[in-house]
Amino acid sequence: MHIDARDLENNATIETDICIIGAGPAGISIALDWIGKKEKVVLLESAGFDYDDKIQDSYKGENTGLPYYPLKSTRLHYFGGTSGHWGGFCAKLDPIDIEKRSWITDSGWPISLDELEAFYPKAHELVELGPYQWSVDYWLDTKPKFKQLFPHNDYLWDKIWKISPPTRFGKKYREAIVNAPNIQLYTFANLTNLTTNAEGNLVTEAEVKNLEGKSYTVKAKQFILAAGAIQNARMLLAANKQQPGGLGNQNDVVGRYFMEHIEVRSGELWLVEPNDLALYMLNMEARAEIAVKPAMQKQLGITNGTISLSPLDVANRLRAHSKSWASDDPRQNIAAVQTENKNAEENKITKRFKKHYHIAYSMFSRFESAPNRDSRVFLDTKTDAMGTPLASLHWALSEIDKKSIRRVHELIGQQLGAAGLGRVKVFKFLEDPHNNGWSEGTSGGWHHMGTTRMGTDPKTSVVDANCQVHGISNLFCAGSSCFPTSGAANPTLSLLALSLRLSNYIKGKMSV
Amino acid sequence: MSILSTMDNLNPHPYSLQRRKFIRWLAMGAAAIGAPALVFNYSNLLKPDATGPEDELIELCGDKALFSIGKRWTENNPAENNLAAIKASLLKGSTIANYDNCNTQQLINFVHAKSKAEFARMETMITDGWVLTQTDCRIAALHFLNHSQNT
Ligand SMILES: Cc1cc2nc3c(=O)[nH]c(=O)nc-3n(C[C@H](O)[C@H](O)[C@H](O)COP(=O)(O)OP(=O)(O)OC[C@H]3O[C@@H](n4cnc5c(N)ncnc54)[C@H](O)[C@@H]3O)c2cc1C
Repeated sequence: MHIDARDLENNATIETDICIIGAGPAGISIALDWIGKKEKVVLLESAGFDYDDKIQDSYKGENTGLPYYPLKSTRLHYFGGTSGHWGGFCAKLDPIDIEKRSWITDSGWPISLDELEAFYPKAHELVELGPYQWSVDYWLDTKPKFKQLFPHNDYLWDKIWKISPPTRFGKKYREAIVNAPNIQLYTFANLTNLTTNAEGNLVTEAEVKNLEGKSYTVKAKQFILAAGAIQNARMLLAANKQQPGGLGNQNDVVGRYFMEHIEVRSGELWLVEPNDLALYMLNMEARAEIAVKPAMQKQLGITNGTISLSPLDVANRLRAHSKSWASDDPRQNIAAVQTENKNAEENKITKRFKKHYHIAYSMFSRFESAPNRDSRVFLDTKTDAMGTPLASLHWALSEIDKKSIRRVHELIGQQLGAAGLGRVKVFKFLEDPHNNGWSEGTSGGWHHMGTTRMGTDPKTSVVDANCQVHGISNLFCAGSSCFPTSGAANPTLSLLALSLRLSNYIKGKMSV
Repeated sequence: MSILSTMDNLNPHPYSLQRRKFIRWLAMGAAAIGAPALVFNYSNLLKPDATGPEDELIELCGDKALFSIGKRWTENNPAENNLAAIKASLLKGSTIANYDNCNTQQLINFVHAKSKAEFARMETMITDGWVLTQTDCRIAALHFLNHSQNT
């Protein structure tokens, strides 16, 4: 059922079993998982079914750390969430991403990859990724043109990425949500505060407002914050009427350990003989990126990352995303990027002579950023139109991040040279091992992770292994805010798997 | 993740790319006047016979870059700032007695194998942005010294 919350009586109270805050991929996937159950689920969404610039304004915020996209345009604030703009590139986390790595401070998840693995197939289906096939062998068998650059290499492997149509959750799942008898979707329902009992260990109600000035209350047995990683932290920090630091923030961890994927054009790969490297090129189904095997990551003391390849002259025609994604208006940015990509494509004549082209490739790094306590989301003194303090972002990286990218290029260069295939050239900012600076073109992938990280120790985490906020038995976070480390894979597929796991846990808790 | 995973104009590599572009235009021009593209794709028309171990690196890194790498090598290794010393270093471990009077292909094979082995042992450095071996740098030095002698 769909209810436009602007039509509710002022100060109305809604009662439900489960209250999900945020209708992006995380919130929608959980809501879908409850369809047909006897429990009543309320799904709160700030805006309606379309972009609304006034509501999007509450995503405004300052960047005080490394240069980053305007915060207002890094996410979408309406039904379907940021899936309205996502690119649909998906990969699974690697086992090493979950492990405690002695060379990476604060690494390690409190759950095993197997626990997440159980939910990947369903997540995979939600983003319409076709056959559940992640091994390079499958794709080599299926596509005769796909050939590995480094078959049987001791240090490098080909990590498969799959490409979603991309699924726009707002369009794809609207009908299912709206028609489900036990789901009540409230649009124009913006969470502004969470109230707890006197002991602070149980959320009793959520305060909801809209731009028309109406307020109302949602009382639920379980509350799930699924508003995106920056918003999840902002909402917990802003719920500071009873606990001055905000909910779950006794140890000053909420908002900290913010992570983004470091995405930067970083080198060139030159081949002795032409090779179209079809396995690595952008296409509609699946492609590989070059990654480093876990033992070598350990030996080199580096983070996880992948290198994607694209024809050099196409890459040379593109600007860095940090340059083309510069407006406060996300619609303008997406249009700019799409136009640039289209214009950069090879024309028909040059395509006929591909064999001559297929020598020079651009290397693009996509790396995890090591957990860093100083990288954080925090509250501004300015507020949005509904009175909630705006979120500011201080994005920080660590020495190991730069070292890792440099080392991986060296390693690929070494393997390419050893195989007699060609040479690698790194960009200037990577040349000097003592230079910790980043190139102007360094940006993120619009992947916000880690602000309510999962862990067993409340001093270094916000939620436990079940995504429950430490010390608050009915408050959960869903999404990539729970990631303790990010891996190099884009987050959506894994955040969906983690959200479905959370949903399953709550079913168990409520004996469904 | 990015919509397309490429961007930015940091340090483009104009030299070799331009050379290749020239070859491409040449091929396209030829195609326009009737030569089938296949001839160019599969023939060795545009691949002159190898003249020395430096050919491959000139092709990969470009003349200018190789020249600069070679210059740097000779500056950092004054003992190798002459052709005789460079040639002797390159031939170390080989049965080839005389660099200037030997089978070119045998020489190329030896030097390339030597560089490959250094790559395999991860004995590399980053110079002028390129991940290269000492042997590569010596080849570059040879190119630099030859070139500076010729000009
Ligand atoms: C340009 C771009 C490209 C991307 N490409 C990829 C990609 O290729 N692969 C990939 O894996 N990921 C990609 N992403 C990231 C991906 O979009 C996110 O990982 C994903 O959308 C996160 O889902 P979510 O549900 O956690 O958060 P969101 O999608 O941000 O959804 C949060 C929802 O909560 C609502 N909300 C927020 N605050 C409140 C509140 N106070 N009250 C009520 N509701 C609220 C919002 O309106 C929104 O609907 C990309 C992102 C962008 C911007």
